[in-house]
Amino acid sequence: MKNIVIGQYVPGDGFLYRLDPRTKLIAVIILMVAVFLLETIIELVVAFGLVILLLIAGKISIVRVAKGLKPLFVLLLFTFFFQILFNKEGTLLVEEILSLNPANLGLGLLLTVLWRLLARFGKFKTILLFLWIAGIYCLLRYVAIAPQWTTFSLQIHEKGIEMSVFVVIRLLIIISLSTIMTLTTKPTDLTQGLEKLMRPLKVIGIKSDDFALIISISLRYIPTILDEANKIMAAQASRGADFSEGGLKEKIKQVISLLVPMFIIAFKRSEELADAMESRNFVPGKKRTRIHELSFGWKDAVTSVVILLCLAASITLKVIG
Amino acid sequence: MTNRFEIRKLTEIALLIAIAFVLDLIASIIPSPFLYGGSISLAMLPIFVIGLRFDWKVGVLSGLALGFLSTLNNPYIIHPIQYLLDYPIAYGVVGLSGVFKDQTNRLGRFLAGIVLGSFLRYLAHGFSGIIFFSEYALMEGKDPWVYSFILYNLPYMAASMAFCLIVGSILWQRKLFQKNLH
Repeated sequence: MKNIVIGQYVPGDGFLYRLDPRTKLIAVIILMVAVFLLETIIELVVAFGLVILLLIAGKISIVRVAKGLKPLFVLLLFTFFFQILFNKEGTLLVEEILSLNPANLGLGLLLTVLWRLLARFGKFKTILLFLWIAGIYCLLRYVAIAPQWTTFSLQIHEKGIEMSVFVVIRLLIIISLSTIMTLTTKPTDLTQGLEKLMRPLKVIGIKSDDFALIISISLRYIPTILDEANKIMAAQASRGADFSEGGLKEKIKQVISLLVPMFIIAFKRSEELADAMESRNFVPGKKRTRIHELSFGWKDAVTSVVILLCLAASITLKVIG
Repeated sequence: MTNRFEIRKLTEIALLIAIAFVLDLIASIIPSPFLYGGSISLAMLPIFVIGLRFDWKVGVLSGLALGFLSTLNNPYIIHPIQYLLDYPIAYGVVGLSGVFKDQTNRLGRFLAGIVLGSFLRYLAHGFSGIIFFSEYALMEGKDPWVYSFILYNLPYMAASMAFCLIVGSILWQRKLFQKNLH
């Protein structure tokens, strides 16, 4: 917890690293729109192939991107099964009669308890989840003892399989694109890119330089504050408090005793920081100098052209198809 | 003097956003009690405090900043519009709680801001859920509305709001947020 890394940036030297963050931000947005214009599985497979090529060309390890997909794994699984089970279009491929009766309900509950107990050990969680799903399915399918409470049929249609592959590939592409960007761009560079892109918003009163400065200071202090929060919680624990236990009233008490010092320290620190900035002649809104200036080079120009071609291609496919 | 105030404003907002981010991190460690997911988080509280201490414009700006920071940490991007609704807009509208700010500095107004901010954030997440269900689960009719607005987003958002209201009013009574800038 102490050495928290914000964002997923991993140092590297592929060409994606050398692109201007502004180019990458805009490219991701345009590519996402382009992907959503695609309508057939073949188009999506080609697009997915292009993403893989991009990963190889940019020297990004596919394993790392796959790791980035992990938090969204449940979502992918959910979408996949949802499509397969509930899409009733096209020809019927499989039909199975499932039944619910006292015997398999009892066994099912037992299986669920067993699954939750095993899942506590924290190992093979995914395999356990699959085993559980398979177990429940077998129980419903094969344990058919009277009295039957209710039966229902499980149907898998052609269109269901097609659509589940379609949405899962699309989801994979979308997630990979955003992961590629955060993997290859430092949070500070992204912030600076965003600042430049948000310049025009000055018209509606949003000062992009203030915005970027706020984010940079936050990024700097998040690890410090997290460390302090851990210390406060450890101090509470040494006095017998447990943040994961207790009733609602207890929890609120503990949260208050965590928040009071956090806010007080933050107000105090903001004052000291303001002193330091003022004494170095910082004036909000005035032009600042930077150690690293962003530069839009020929690589960015080439990338922009390629991205626009991709968009044009998917618009064309949409119009033709 | 105004220069000094402006710098204080910037640093204070930045540190409060950092607290919000840390609170979100801590909340994500504790497993969610809800069947359909979503965690009870106090991350909105610092934004409410910013809205209270400055105004709604600053609040919205801070919300946008927090939205950007949480994108870096936990990118959950499945659709362009879903992204806008779930990050910049969801956090940005929390800052609108500042519309209730006035010179009287009453607890009731602070709490009204919390209710407004939470409700607007709930709406943003609700609509993003509709996009998810219609794009990925191909549900039509009123089903996606029930799933998104009632089953998924309502429990944890209502709990987060209640948590913010309770903790917010206790901290208010301790005069923690009323410290004047100088």
